[in-house]
Amino acid sequence: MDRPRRSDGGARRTAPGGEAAARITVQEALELWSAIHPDPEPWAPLAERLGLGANLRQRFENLSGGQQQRLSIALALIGRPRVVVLDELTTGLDPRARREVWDLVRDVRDRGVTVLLVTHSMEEAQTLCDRIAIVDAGRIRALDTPAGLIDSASAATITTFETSVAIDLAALRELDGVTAARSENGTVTVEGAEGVALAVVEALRTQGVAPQRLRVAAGSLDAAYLDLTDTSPETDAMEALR
Amino acid sequence: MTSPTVAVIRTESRLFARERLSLFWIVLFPSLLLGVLGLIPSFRESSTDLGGRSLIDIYVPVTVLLSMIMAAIMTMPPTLTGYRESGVLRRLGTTPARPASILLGQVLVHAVAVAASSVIVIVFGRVAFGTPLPESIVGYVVAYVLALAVSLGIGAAITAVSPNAKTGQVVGMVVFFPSMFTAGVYFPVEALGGTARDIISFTPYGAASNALNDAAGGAFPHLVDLAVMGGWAVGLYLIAVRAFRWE
Repeated sequence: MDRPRRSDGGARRTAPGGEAAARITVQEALELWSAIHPDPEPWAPLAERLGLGANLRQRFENLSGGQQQRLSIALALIGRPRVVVLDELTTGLDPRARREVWDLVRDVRDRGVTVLLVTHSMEEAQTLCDRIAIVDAGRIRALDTPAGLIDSASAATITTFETSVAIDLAALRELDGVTAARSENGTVTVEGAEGVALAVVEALRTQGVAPQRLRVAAGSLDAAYLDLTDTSPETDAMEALR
Repeated sequence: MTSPTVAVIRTESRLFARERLSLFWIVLFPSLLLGVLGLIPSFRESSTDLGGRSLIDIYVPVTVLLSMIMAAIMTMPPTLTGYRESGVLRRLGTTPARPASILLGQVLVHAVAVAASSVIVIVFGRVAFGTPLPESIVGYVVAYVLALAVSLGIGAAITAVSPNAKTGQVVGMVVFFPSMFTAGVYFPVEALGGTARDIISFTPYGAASNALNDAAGGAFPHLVDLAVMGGWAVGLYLIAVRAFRWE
């Protein structure tokens, strides 16, 4: 399904007919949508909660991208849907508008509406989703909670530390569960499965190195995504056979 | 509680009322043109070539057709293709409202604007230049309704075959000039004779022009003119229905 290209997250219409549609005011759009649904959610409180209360008399074409997006969401909610599909909701929004929309999505979810969110932003998926399906080349590669996905990735934890002396990176790479180890400007980063951090500390002690600024962080969903969608030549061959 | 269709039509009317430029071309421009032509003295003289009528008499039906051309060819197709392009039709399709109601709304607002324009033109011509009122009322209404139907059919077909608003405008322009010509806007085709006249009579606006002129003069329009308009209308709606895409 192709959809209109959006550069600013909203739909700033440029086509002549689109201009006609864009001259509708916020209130008119809300009233129209209320009139065409059998049991509409009262639009006034909805607009208020979406921060559109002050814009009711404003025309769609004069709203900011974020406001247009919020009106769009309001219209989607008026019909009391049980499921909403939100596709690339925050693409092109500034960080503040993004967070406002995120609050809104949480709000929708808390009212018992199932939200299917389509996004390219791992940050967004990690903050908003209860469950994430990673789709690659049209197939679901993984379906789990954000934490579950990160844990299952080969780089579930990221261990970093600083050291003033040269260390044996090769020895670290041979440790059980370590997927990558690199050193940059005196900072060593070791990626690996759960429990790698302890093994690294142990290994450093045997090397006689005292790590400074030792940090252990959970791997990011970004890393999990890259890991899960990594196409080896083998899978490429499989795709080719289809 | 208003019905979805009524709500959509009401919204379409409001939005249409905001399109000042469209309203100007459909409602005011035809009368303006008639007024300018009426200022030319020779246009007001009756001529034996025209069966005792003056050129300005003939321009009343022509300006009536002009507003139909403006509405159905210049305004409606870009609006509808724009609705399709910007996803308005698809969005409406996700609601209990039928997207067809927006098409109905567009047809209605344009038809009302054209009717208003026609009344203004006829009354203005009468008051300013003493042009005759339609003498065969029934004949005029029949010719008028058919002319409006064929106009909206042209608009519907343009909308259906144009994938986007831009193409809609281009196709509209291509159809616009021959329509203006055959309706007699550029010069009174009524005054033409021979084969050229016969060919023009088989175009939608040529036939419409004949029929409106006959009715204005008191005669019931020739059946062949009504049949030409009816035939075009049926053909154009068939094209429109077959080619129309919601998305």
